[in-house]
Amino acid sequence: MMRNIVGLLGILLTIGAYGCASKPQPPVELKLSESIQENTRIAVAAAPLPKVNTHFPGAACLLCVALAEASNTSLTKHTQALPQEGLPVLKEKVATLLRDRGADVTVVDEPLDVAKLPKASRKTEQTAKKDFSPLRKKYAVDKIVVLHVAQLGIQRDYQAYVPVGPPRAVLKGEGYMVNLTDNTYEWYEAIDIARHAEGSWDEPPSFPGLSNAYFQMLEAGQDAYLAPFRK
Amino acid sequence: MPTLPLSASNKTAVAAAVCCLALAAAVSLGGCAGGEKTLQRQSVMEPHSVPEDAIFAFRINRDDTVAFRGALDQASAASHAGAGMLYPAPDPLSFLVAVGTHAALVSTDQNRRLGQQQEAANQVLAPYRSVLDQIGHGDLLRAATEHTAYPRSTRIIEPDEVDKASWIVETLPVFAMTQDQSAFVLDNAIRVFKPGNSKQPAYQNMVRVVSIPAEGSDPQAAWTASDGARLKAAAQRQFSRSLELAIMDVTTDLVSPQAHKTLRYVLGTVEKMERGQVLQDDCGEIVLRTLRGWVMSVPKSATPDPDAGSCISGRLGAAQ
Repeated sequence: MMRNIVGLLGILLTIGAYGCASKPQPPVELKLSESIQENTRIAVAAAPLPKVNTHFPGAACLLCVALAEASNTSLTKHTQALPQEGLPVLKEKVATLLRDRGADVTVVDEPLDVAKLPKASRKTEQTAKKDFSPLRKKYAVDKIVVLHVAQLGIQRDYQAYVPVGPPRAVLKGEGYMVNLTDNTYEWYEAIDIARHAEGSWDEPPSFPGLSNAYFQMLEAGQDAYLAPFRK
Repeated sequence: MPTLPLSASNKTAVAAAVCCLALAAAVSLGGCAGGEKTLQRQSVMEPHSVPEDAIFAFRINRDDTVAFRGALDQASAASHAGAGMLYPAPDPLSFLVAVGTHAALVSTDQNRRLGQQQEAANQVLAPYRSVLDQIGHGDLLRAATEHTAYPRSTRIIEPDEVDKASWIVETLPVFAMTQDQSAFVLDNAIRVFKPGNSKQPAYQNMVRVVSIPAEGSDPQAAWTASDGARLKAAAQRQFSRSLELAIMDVTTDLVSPQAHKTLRYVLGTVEKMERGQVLQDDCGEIVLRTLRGWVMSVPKSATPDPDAGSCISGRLGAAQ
């Protein structure tokens, strides 16, 4: 009887976990000449930047996490000291590119916490998940570009207790433009940049190979956010 | 030695700590730490400590063969997670052995995959093999000493020659051709020994020289024309420049007042990046100190600088 209840709970948990996983947003290509015209009122905002840190996906159990963290303390200490170089001024770079096309640009100084926005009722795949429309009045704009970096630092994949590859520098996030009149994406792109160290990576305490990969990844990440506005 | 009585919770904590340590050891023994170390700059020399009348003796390698390989973009190569593994755990020891075995299997798989990728990358050299086989280490050294002006006297010595008066310079060049066949990257591992001390190098470093991409739409035809004259000349030029930069790094206080920055350059038809400090920026070339301390020369643009010839002559004149 007890075994049946445990089994049933397991099945329910599995279904729940899969059921809650949201469908990834498909990309929306930015049609620059249509979206950005002379005097288009547009805001550029950035979500709060994450702390530069190490990540060990796949180390799933408590002991696995403890072991992964314990065996990478030197790497974590070094990673946490790496700068976010360039990312804090990324929105200004986007704003410059938009101004070059004649747009009337407002750079939002404070970090935009998208999680605090109300949830939108999605009508199509192109409708934003959050309701950005209150920002139209707040910033006196018709569109908003949001730059969101979700993960920044060094990632090492694990299978339980065992690392299954060398660590790599990783930037994950998304960039999008929302039309505030109908809350639809005019641009949506998931950003996922990774760079490995050239040669060996295990060079404590300064990890020059991985640090080089980190800075390459930072540049490539910024390129990925800026590229749609450079066409 | 007095021992402290342990409470039940303390015993659990100690057992967990011992288990963690044993697990860490098992994973480490599996060899997943990342293989052979990459060379970093090491020097026990004071800047400007090489006397003006010093002689640098470039030693020819016993094996005259020069290594060429296909360039492998390891920095952006994807890593693949292997299959998962269930750990049989009838007892703690079996569990640790299982974790160690898993780590060893993962490590072996990674090395095998890297080997396969390098083998595939080397296929790019097939049309050039007959030309590459003609390039010897001795030839590169002779060309480097004939056509380059160094701030000190130089000579070439045979593999077994004993010279206790000169600063001995050992070089191990490895050329890599890009997969688009348009450019070469030379990694020259260099060791310098003080006179009379052939055991411990006073300086060791890597000097990397990136070539300007070959012009035209058919790089293979360009490299192999006239029995590979252009390829041989390019290899000699890169090798000479690497020696020149190494000697400059040994004899001068090669430091940069500039902050670290991420420099972009062209490797063949691909844009690459390197973090470092710019040491020189002239004659169509940028020289930088990388985070590993390497000296690296990259072309400033994909096309040759028309003024580079006179610029280099001026630089040589200043060095003499």
